[in-house]
Amino acid sequence: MGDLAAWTGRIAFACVAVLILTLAALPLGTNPSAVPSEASPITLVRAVAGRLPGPDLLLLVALAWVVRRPAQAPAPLAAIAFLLRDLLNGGPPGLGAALDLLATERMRGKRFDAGVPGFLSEWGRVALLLVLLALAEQVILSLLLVQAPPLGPALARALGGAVLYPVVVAVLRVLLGLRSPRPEEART
Amino acid sequence: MARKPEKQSYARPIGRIFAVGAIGLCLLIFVIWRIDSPRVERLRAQIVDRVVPNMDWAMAPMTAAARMVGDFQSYARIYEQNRELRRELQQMQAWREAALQLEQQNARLLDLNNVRLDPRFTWITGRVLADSGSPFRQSVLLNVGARDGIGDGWAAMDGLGLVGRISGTGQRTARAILLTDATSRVPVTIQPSGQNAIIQGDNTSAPVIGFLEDDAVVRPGDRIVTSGDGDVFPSGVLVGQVAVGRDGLRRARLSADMDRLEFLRVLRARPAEGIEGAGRLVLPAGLPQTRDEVDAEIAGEAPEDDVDG
Repeated sequence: MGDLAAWTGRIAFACVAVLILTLAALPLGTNPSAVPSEASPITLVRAVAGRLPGPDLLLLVALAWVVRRPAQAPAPLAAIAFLLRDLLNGGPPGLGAALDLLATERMRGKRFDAGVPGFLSEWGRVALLLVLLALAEQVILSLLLVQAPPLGPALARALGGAVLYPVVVAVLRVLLGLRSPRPEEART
Repeated sequence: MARKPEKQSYARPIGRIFAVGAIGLCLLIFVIWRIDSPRVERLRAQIVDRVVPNMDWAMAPMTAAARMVGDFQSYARIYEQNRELRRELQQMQAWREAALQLEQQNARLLDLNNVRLDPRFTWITGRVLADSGSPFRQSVLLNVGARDGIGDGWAAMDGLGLVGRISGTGQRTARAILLTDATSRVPVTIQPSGQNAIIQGDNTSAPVIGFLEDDAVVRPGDRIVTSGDGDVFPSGVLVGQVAVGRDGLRRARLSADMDRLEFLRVLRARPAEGIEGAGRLVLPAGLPQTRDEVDAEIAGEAPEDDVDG
């Protein structure tokens, strides 16, 4: 648990989390999606692109990480990252973090076959989890009479995250060498 | 290799305990927030206060670079823009002349009438540190806070129009909820017709105008200014113009440049001094001054001292 590889991995995970939070906080996209008033292809494309809320990169990275290197993204570290995200965004703090932690714990150290079929089943599981998370957040928030985000965009966000998941996995693999563990080094 | 099974046997339960503990802690924070939201919001403001100014050194260059890329894209049609600007400049000079004359006239009239303008129009300017919204919430963080005298509920505007309202202040930072946020509600007046309405954010760039009494007298292009109802905002701050969205709703096209929020003005708001009760009778000294004293006098027992009921 305390060997060098795990600790460098944890530091790498923390750095990636900080980077994502910083990028998300850049004061650039302060204007939400435009309401299209005149019909032209450009405004339409812009409206569609602007209407889809960007997926939660932090969660995607955490999911990909706990599948590949379960020991490098321990629950307390992930919890701090998720909580910080919730606090920086104006929303209800803690709920999103708890749900995301549940998801990462479900996926932690899960074994998938090597190759394409294994990745497809991993991808399917992540997509299902993302949709379930969005629904669970809706249900809990409306049960507790907190204003929940609109259902349609929330689901679109989950699906967008599912679409982006392979990209996140590929980027992590290329940049940080994060690949699926071979059977003999399963628990590092 | 022989170590592996042993290692698993204790590493896993410990990891489990940490995970369950972390999830429990997050849920606890959420439940406390639901029960006692002001306290947790204060905690949030303090944490943001510690974290965001530290991120600033990294964020400022990145923001500048991204904005430069955006600016560079607009060089593509610089010639067109230049011609457009010249044309607009000509129009503006005509307007400027008219405005100057009106200003002088206005100043003269105000002077003649000895009018006192609302003293609340002083402001503190802050820089936008971070966009602290998720896709479903629109808010920004400013680099001014309680240390600079910022208070909750004050109006934030850019040079031209209203942008939002301060909600949550730390020592060095303050959060401004934008007009486009789904929880934002601002009472406004629509100018030529004088209709009162409420601007309701709905996560689009053009908030909906709600609670209009009479749709018919409000036309696209009418000016929207804050009405000052409810004592939250000073009155007369420009918000935007009326437009009709594709969905047929009347929406506000905001005057503030919401794409480029760099500096925000926070309007200092002092609680309005209410006028309480009816005025008293002005009586010569020696006579009973309050109603209670009058009652007491009528009842036959004069009060010893000046007890105010």
